[in-house]
Amino acid sequence: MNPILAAECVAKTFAGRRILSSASLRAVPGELRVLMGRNGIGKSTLLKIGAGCIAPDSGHIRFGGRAYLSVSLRKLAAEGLFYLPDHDLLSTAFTVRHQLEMIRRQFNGGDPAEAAGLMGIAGHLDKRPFELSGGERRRAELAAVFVRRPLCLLADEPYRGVAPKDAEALTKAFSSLAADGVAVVITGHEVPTLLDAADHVTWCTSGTTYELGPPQIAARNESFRREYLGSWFYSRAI
Amino acid sequence: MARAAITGALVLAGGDALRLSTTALVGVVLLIVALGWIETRRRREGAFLANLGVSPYVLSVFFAVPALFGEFVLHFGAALLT
Repeated sequence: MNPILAAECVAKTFAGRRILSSASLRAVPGELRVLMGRNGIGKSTLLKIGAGCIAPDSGHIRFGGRAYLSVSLRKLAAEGLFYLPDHDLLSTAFTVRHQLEMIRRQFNGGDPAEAAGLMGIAGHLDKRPFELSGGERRRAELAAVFVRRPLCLLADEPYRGVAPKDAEALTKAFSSLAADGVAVVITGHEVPTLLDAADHVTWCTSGTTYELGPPQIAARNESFRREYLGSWFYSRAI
Repeated sequence: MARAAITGALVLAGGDALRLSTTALVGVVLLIVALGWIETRRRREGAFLANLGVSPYVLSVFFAVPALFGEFVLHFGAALLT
């Protein structure tokens, strides 16, 4: 299937340091893709470029058949993209219910109570995000995604600092979205969790990306194992 | 709070704190918009607003309109009282 979102051959330099030289990001409807790579290698930068949060130095972005040299998240969001940043998404100024309602009204989205129930935070709807644990905040963000019903979801390190039970709920949510036809791309370092959930693995390294394919095939890639997964995973996989 | 601080400064300077000149009015509204933006950045609400499809211009208008309305209320209120 054709990707709904594609950031092709993008390059980005920050303060004289070349982060990406020719990297690509593709989000395919019905697929849960994971973008893996070492810290500081450019995963978040690539995701932000795909989401329209930062402009690439070169390369282009295609979303829903339209090509852009530079585009804003606001514009892509209106066309069906939802971006979860690597920090808390929801504002501390309003209750979770209020913010889910904002999304519902703006996009004629799903029922906030139903989405909250789906993510197991129905009892926290009238709390502000700072009253929730890290795992509950991630669940609330995923509830926002269910209310929005996007065509494409980009999530930057959604598993950061969450307990295994919350991680399990997040994985179920991502898989459910992909099963419903949403194009999902997530980043992170939680190798067993990500490889269990993924349909496709993209490896970001040395300023570029490699499409490694399904996790079973990716885990057998010698370079990927040697340079990213490390000896622990190597011994487990064997 | 910003308006209260400006009022305090104008009272101390012996000026009319309620009826601002056009230049001061524009300055106050720009200050309120700037403070709104700083608060939005501090709370890291940019991604949430962008996900809602809210443009920076619309957000600026949201900050400016209550400030303008407040200034007009003060201006005409003061005119009615004197």
